[in-house]
Amino acid sequence: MLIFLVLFPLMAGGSVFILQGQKSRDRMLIFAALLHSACVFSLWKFKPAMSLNGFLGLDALGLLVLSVVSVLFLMVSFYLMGYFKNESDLSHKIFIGFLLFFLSFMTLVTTARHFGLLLIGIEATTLSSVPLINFVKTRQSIEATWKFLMICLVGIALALLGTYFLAVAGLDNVQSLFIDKLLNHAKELSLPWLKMSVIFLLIGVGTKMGLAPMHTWLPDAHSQAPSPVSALLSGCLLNCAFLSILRVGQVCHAAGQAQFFSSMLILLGIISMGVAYVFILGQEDYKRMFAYSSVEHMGILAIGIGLGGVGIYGALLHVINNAFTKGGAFLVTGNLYKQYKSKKVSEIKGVLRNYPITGIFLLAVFLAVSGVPPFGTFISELIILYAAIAGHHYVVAFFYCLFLALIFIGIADIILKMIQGDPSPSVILSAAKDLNVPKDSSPFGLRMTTKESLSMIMPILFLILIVLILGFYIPPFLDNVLQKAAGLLGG
Amino acid sequence: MNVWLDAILILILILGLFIVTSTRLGTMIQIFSMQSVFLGCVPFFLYAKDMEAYIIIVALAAIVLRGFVMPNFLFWAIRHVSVRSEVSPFIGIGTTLLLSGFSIAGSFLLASKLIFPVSISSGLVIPSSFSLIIMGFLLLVGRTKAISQVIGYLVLENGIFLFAILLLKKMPLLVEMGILLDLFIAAVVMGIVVNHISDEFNNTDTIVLTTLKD
Repeated sequence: MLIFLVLFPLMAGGSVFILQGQKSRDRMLIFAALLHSACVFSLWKFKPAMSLNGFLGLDALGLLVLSVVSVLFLMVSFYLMGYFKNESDLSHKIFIGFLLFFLSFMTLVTTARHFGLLLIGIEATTLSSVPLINFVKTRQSIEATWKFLMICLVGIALALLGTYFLAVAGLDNVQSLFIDKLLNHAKELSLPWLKMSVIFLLIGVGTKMGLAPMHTWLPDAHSQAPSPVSALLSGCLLNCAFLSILRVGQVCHAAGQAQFFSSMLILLGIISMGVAYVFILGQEDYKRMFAYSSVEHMGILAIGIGLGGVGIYGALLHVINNAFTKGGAFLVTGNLYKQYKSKKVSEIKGVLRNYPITGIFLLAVFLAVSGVPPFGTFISELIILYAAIAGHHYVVAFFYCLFLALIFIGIADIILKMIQGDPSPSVILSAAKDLNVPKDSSPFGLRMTTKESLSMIMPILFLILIVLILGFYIPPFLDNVLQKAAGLLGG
Repeated sequence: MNVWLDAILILILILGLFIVTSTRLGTMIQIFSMQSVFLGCVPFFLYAKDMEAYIIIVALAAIVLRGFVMPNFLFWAIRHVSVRSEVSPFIGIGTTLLLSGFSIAGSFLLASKLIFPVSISSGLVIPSSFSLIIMGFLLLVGRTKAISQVIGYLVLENGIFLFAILLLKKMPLLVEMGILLDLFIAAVVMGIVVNHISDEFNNTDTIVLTTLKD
C-alpha cells in the first residue's frame, strides 16, 4: 500500500512526459491527486503494515503530515486548472511532471522509517522542486533558484553528516538507522556523538525548514516561484522538513536528551520570529511578506515543540492550521498577481472594490495568518502560549507574544492598504481595455466586475473553511491522532 | 599499511589546501579530480585485511564518479560559459589559507574529544574529514563564481564521504549508493542552473545575483 502511494505519483509524473495535449496532462494531474487523497483517506481507517523490509511505515506523525500534504496538493492541482491557460507545451509538460515527482518524494519523506531514506527523500524533494521554482525563467527566478539549490544542498550535506554521526553513536549496539530500532535502543547511544548529530541535523534540516538564520533561501524562492508552487513549498515542503526534525526529536526524547533538543529549538524559534518581524515590517513585496510569515510560523512550531507537554499538541495542530492558511494565502497572491501583474504592495489598491471575492479572501487569510480568533491558528497559538506559561518559561512567553503582536501590526499595515482605498486609474484603464469597454466611459465610476475564475476560487474557499472550522471544533478522529502523535514526542 | 594510509590522507589535505588557494578554475577542477581519486583509494587501505566485494564497488564507483565524471562535467561547464578564473573572491586567498590552517588544527582538537567507538587503523581519518568539510565551506562562502561554489560543495561532499568510509562496513549498501546517486543528480541540476545563469547574465558570477534582497 505504502509502496504504491509513493510509486504511483512517480509513474503518473513519468507518463505526463508522454501524454500529448494540455487537457490530458491536466486530467492526469487531477486523477493522481484524487487517487492519492483517496488512498491517504483510507489510511485513517486501516493502519498499513510496514513495507519494503521496514523501510516504509506510517505512524501518527507521518499520517498527520501526509494528510496535510495530500489535501493541499489536491487543492493546488484544482487551482492550477485555472492558473495555466496559455503555457507552451514543453514547459507545461515539465511543470506537471515534476509536480507529481514532488508529491511522490514528499510521500516518501512522510513514510520513511529509516534516517538514510528520509534524507534521500528530502534531497529528492529539493531537486524536484527546482524546475518548479525556475518556471518563469527571469533573472530573479534564476537567482532565487540558485540560492535555493546551493543553500538547501549544503544544508542536506550537513544533515547527512549528522546522520553519519547518529550511526556512529549507535555503532556499539544498535548498528542501524531504522527509527524504530534507534528508539528501542536510544538509551545505549553514545552521548557526545548523539549531541553532535542532533546539532548537525537541526542545522541541516532546519535550513530546509526555513528556521532563521538559515532561512535566506526561503523568501526568494517563495516570491519568485509561481504562486501555486509557493503554496506547496510553504504548506507541504516546510512541514516535511519539520517532520524530519520531529524524528530527531523522537530519538532525543527516547535517549533522555529532550532538554538539550528543546533548548536549541526554542532558541531557533525565537530568532526566526524576530527575523520575520524585522523583514515583514514595511515589506514592499506581498509574496515576500507571506514568505517571512512562513519563517515566523516555523518559529512558532519550533517553540511549541521545544516547550514540550501540551505545547507539542499545539504545535502539531498548528502544522495543520498553518499549512492550509499559508496554502490559501499563496493561492490568493496568485489571484492578485494574475489580476494586477505586480508583486509590489504600492501598486495594488482597492482590491475589495475591484475584485470582491479575492478581496474578502485576502482579508480572511490575513486574519488567519496573524492568528485572529475565529480561525484555527488562534487556538493553536494560544495552546502554545499556555504551554509556555504553564511551564514557567516566562521569557519565551514574553518574546512570543511580543513578536506575534508586532507581526500582526506589520502585516495589517501592508494588507489593509492593499484591500482598502479606491483602485488606481491605471488598473481600471487596463482592465477596461481587457473588457473592450470604451476608455471614455468614466473609469472612476466603473464598478469592476471582472470574472474571477471558479477553479481559482473554490480551492481557496475550501482551505479557509477548514481553518475556520478548526477554530471552533476539532473532530474526535483528528484529536485522537494528534494525541497519539504528541505522545510519540512525549507530549 | 598504516603509513600508506596516513600518507594518502595527508596528501588529500594538501590537495585541499591547493584547491583553496588556487584561483584558476581549470586547476581547481584538476586538483579536485586528483583528490577524489586518492579519496577513493582510502577504503582499500582502511579495509585491507578484510576486503569485501561491495566495498570495492563503492570505492571504484567513488573514483569513477568523483574523479572522472564530475570533473569532466565541470570542464564542459567552464568551456560552455567561458569563465576561466576567480577574479575577486569575497575572502582573499591569504585569509582563506590562514582559516584553512586553523580549521585543520581545530579539527584535530575536535576529533580528540570525540572517541570513535570502533578502533580505526589511522587517527587521521576523522580530523581530515572535518578539515575537508570546513575547506569546502570556505570555498562556498568565499568565492563569487558559480563554478567555484560548486567545487566548494563537492569538496565538502568529499569530506563527508571520507567520514562515511568509516561506516562502510556497518551501513547498508543502499544508503551509500543512494548518496552517490544524489551527488550525481546534484551535479546535473547544478549544471543546468549554471547554464541558465550564463544564458541570462552572460557570466556565472554570482555577485550579479543581487536583485533579491531586503
